[in-house]
Amino acid sequence: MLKRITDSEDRLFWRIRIKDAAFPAPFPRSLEYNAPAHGTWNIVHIGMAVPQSHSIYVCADNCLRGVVMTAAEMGCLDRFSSVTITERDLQTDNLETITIEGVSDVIAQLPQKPPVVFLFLVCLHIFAGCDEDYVFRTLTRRWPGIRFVKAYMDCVRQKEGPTPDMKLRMAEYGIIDPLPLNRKRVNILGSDVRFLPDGELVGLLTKHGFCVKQLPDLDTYQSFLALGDAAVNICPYPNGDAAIRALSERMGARYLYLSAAVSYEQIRSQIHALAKTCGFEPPSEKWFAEKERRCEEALAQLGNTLGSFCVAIDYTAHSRPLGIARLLLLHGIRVRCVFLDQILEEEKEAYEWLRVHFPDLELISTILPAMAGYGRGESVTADTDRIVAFGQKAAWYCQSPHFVNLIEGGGLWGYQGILQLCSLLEEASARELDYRQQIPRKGIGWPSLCAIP
Amino acid sequence: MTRETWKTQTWWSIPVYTGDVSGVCSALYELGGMVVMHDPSGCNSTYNTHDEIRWSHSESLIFLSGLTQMDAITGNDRRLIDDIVSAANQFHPQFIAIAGSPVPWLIGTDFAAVCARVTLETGIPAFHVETNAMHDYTRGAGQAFLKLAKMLFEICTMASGGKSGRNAEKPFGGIPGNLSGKVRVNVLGMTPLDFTNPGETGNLKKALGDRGFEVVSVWAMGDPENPLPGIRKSLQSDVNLVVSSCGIDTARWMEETFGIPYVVGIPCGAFADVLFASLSESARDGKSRIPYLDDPGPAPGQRDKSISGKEAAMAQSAFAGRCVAGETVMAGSLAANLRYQDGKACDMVPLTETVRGLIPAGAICPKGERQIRQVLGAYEEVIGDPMLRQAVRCGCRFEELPHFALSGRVFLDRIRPLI
Repeated sequence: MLKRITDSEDRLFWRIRIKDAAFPAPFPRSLEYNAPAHGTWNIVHIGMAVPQSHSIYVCADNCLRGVVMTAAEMGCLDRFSSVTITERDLQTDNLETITIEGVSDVIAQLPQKPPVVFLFLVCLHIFAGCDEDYVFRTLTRRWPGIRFVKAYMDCVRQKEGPTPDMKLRMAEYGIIDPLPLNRKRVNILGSDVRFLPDGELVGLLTKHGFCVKQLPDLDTYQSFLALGDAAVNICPYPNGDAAIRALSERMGARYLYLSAAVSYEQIRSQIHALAKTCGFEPPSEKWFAEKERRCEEALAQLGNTLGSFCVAIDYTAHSRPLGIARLLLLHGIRVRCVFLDQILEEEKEAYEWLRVHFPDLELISTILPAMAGYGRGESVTADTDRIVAFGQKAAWYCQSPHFVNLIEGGGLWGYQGILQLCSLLEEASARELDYRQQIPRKGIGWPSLCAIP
Repeated sequence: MTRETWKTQTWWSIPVYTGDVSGVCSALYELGGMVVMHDPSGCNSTYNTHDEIRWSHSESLIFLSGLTQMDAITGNDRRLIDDIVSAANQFHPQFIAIAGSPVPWLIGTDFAAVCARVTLETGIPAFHVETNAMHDYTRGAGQAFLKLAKMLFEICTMASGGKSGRNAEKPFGGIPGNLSGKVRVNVLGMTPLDFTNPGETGNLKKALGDRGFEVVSVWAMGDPENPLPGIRKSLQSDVNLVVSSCGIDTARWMEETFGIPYVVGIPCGAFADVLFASLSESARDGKSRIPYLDDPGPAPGQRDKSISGKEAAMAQSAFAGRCVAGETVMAGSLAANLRYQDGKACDMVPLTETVRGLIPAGAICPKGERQIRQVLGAYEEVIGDPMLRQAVRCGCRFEELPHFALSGRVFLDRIRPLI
């Protein structure tokens, strides 16, 4: 096959000790490489999470290819349509005509009219100065039974503002109209994964008589709209924060951002905030102590089980990769490296702590050009068979069959989240998975109707 | 804009083919160069997930520029140049190709200047492949091969004595001489987008070798070693074999510039004999040929130049009753093979963009899902990618011919070798 192009002396500047890493961008910007690890959700998955919705993308062929094939591999082409843009469309007007007529043509072909359409506009609409309001006004008038939601695949703006992912979540929850609030209703929204009933987040709420709803539990558009009756909205995922905050403001509901913390102090603080906001008594000190004792036991056991294994963590597996590194290092578990390209504000405290206490911890970029030389039998670490990779990109770059196949924290939250984290790492150290077959599949949690080369 | 115009741009159940930017990457993947997609985001992931089967096991320097809104608005090409130069100094690629996307196209990025600057600062030849993401892979790959050829053989265009076409002199007097006495062949237009089965290059080389041809180069996949040295010898060939529409631009340029004739087609089944005979004949008389258009008679019914609405269905109703739909050369070759096999008519229905000179006079080239449905709906038997199954009429006999450039990984495990 092909010869290796990169050599070891070329691989500079893609790994850095945390003591030398700047916040929030530890690596310089450069050309970007893309590893074949695709388990995270993209805008197709996020849009289709709204039950009975239909997505229509108006864009150029090459841009369309990625999203239409995502839908095809999900087995959801019946909920996806597209309109291609040509050079001629940009000469005709500012893309209003092709957008309005193309979308109308697509809708006319659908055997059943959807209640809600996510209409994705792209970079070209922005640069051409498309009159988006006119487009949506016209479509709404033409198709009165359909709710049109403005969504974007405007990649050109994603480094200088909210990403398309964040904006889509904003649009998605913007559909929900205010309803009379039910003080015993709580939503956990903004994340793509389900939080399990045995975790503290859902568990404490249900124990105190709250009816908890999450997006993955819904199967009709009406049930989605009914989310508007919750007195409290909780967002556990950074990319959903702005959207759920805005939803809560419109509803007049209370809002809590409870991103999955992995330190006892922060978990305590979050549980107290949860209790205060929802109006129930927080658990006793004994309860907290018992939970923390069990976590300590699990972490000690994890240390014994891992033995000579090291852990590599990547940001796609959990929004708090540095927090997890700190938790493991504090308990004597070796962390070889953390894969990330930026450090979130909520990780700043863990970053500062690690710089002081574990200054040699390595941060490794996932997108710098030098990363093209890793994977395909070449690991960033020397001891591939002794690495437990927490996340798909860590598995790829460490070439480790011992990996935890997780995205967005996988619903790990609170003390139970730490217990599950230990359990997942233990399991991964004890068995091997063919990561080459797993990680190129898109959107964990959705069907993957494809073969892997 | 007329109603008919936008009706050819809507899709509600069939995906689009691989795009032009991915086509560039696929064409140049194995040649030791560096390809930069000048795009904000997404092209890279789309390409390596859905349009490239080699990504997980073969290294190639394919990167995204990460264009930002501010860089686009302010025309800051310096960052693009600096990033390319930095990566080039790191990897020392044999060439650098830069492919554009919609925003650079819209703002009129001066790619010629960017390439000149990159070459000046790195000493590595750089060229721009004119893509804007609004076309399919045959355009992108075709342009990539052509630009590569022009880069490699620029000096030889002067050596051809300033003549063109059949009057062109073989550069360097056709060195080294054809010692073997065999007809020497370049294969043009071979990428995994059309030839996905891993054995295709080997099958093709064997088939050509068994018939006494000598393969000089394969543009550009499947060679065990870096194929660029082989490709550099392409001008020693007597004839080019164009196996997909991705290779036709390069073949025409090589004919025009160096007098090397070309033959278009895939050597499949009974059609292989006809194709090989054409290769020998073209090597002998210097004339280019497209044998799938020749025999045994033009495909019936392909007479109407433009189609719209009911006219298409009416025109098609007079057809043979069966067709092969897909990439132009693939459809033409497989349809010809069927005609040779059983003597019955079979149409080609090209669904990809590069068709000029590759289809029968007046052939129908449907655009958009509506026209595809109208055209395929007229046939009793259709051979094509499974994604097209929903476009055929009820009761139609549909034979699956999975095509990676359309259905991607969805039917990857069902793709059969074409050769």
